[in-house]
Amino acid sequence: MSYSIATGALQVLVVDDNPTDTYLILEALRLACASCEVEVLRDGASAWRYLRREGPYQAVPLPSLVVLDLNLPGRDGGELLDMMRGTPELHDIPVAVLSSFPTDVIRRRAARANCYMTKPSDLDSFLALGKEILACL
Amino acid sequence: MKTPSLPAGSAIQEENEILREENVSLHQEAAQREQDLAELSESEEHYRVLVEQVREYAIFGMDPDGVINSWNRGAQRIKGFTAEEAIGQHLHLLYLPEDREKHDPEKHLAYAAKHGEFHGEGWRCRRDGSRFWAEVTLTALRRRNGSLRGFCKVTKDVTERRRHEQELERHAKELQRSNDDLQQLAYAAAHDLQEPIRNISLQTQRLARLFEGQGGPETANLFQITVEGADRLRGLVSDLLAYIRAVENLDEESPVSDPLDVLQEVQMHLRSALEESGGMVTAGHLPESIPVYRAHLVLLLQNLISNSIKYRSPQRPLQIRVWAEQLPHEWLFNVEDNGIGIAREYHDRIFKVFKRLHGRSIPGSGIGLAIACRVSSHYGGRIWVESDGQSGSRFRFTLARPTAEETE
Repeated sequence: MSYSIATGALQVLVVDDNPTDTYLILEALRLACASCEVEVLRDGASAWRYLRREGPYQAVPLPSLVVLDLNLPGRDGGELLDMMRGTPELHDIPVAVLSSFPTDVIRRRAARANCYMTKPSDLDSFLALGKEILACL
Repeated sequence: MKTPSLPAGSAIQEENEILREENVSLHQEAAQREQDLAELSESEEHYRVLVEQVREYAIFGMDPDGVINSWNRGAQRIKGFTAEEAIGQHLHLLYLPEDREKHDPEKHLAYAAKHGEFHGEGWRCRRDGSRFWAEVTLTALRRRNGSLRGFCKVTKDVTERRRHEQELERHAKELQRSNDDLQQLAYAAAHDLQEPIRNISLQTQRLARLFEGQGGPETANLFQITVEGADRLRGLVSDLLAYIRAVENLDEESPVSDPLDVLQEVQMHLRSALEESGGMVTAGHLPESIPVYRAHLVLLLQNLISNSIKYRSPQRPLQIRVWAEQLPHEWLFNVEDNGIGIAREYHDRIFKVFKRLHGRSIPGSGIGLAIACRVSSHYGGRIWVESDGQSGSRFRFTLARPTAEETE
């Protein structure tokens, strides 16, 4: 399942299977960047097909930024990140890891991310994340 | 023997007298020798009987070639061979065929001949072919001139002991594995619980915002209570997670930290709480370096100092003093405050998970001291508190100090 909001230059791919979190990430990004175009995917395998532009994703543009959760069904966020870093055309895409793990654990599991954040439990802090995410660009 | 050469009368008498005296003395000497010999033989008999009667140990002798020449009852009991069967046979008889092929008997004899003694443990076989785990001491016997006279071997059947040791080792391994499993389970459970709790809290906050201004004060109050409940639950689970993770292995290669440096870092972390409370931390003598992961020492000192901040006395400015004493095998760290103190009956309980002594007026879930306790016991130390319940508390914990040998 995927949906997008707005149209604009900046393409963001969000890979997260938690509906509350994805809703809030979309909100936060919309607040920080009205022109961002956001695609949400729920698992690592579809995210990989999206990035490789396979199957239904043949015509999609490559994202300018990936917002990645670590705990994903099937292939997890850390694996997806390693696969991206090992692929020349995906190698340089900035990745922001956003997870419910404490930051030291995120750092260990996703060492090659551009930045990492722990998902806040306070609504205002969550909605303020958009700026931090875009700062990873 | 002297041949007297016709001496004069008095001279003969004198000579006779001397001879008689010598004779008496020779008789006495002979009698003494006889007695000594009898005693020696008695003593020998005594030891022979003693050795023969020993049943717990197989004790037997061998000539320089390793051919058995004596055999006690213990040997018969442990090995199954009678003295008649064993005497005249080579030491080979008692080794397993595969060890005989490796020339173990010869190697052990040669070792004892060279070094005086061979000591070891290993499988040996009985007459019926069954095996037992033996603890053996093989001693070379030498004459006064140093030539090899033979060997003496003492063997004990320690199969039971070995079985117990192996069982203990197996139990210890099982316990370790079960502990690791539990640690992982607790970690996974605590972590997986956090996400839905966080979601409930976030969704409730969204709902509250949607319904803001509608439904009256009761609705707003219900939303607030729900959010607070979810937050408290999340806080507890997150504290539990911190407790579980307190002693996990760290990435740093070797555990080492500088306590004074750590204390300064802790003061940085607690800066706003210290400023707010007007608390002063002073450092006394501290070792330059201890073999404890820095993050672990931070946990210990930070939890104790923030405990002192929380339970400060409203009647006097907060003073916290931190110092360490060097004991023979450990360091004894002290964190002393002039706060409200802790009544004696709570001195043990305060280190339990989620144990709190005060109501909600003082924040916290009661995990801090439990974490400090877990870290100190991880390093083989103890933690306790000394307090009269009025004028302050002195928290003390020990950390094992490596001995000079271990440091080398």
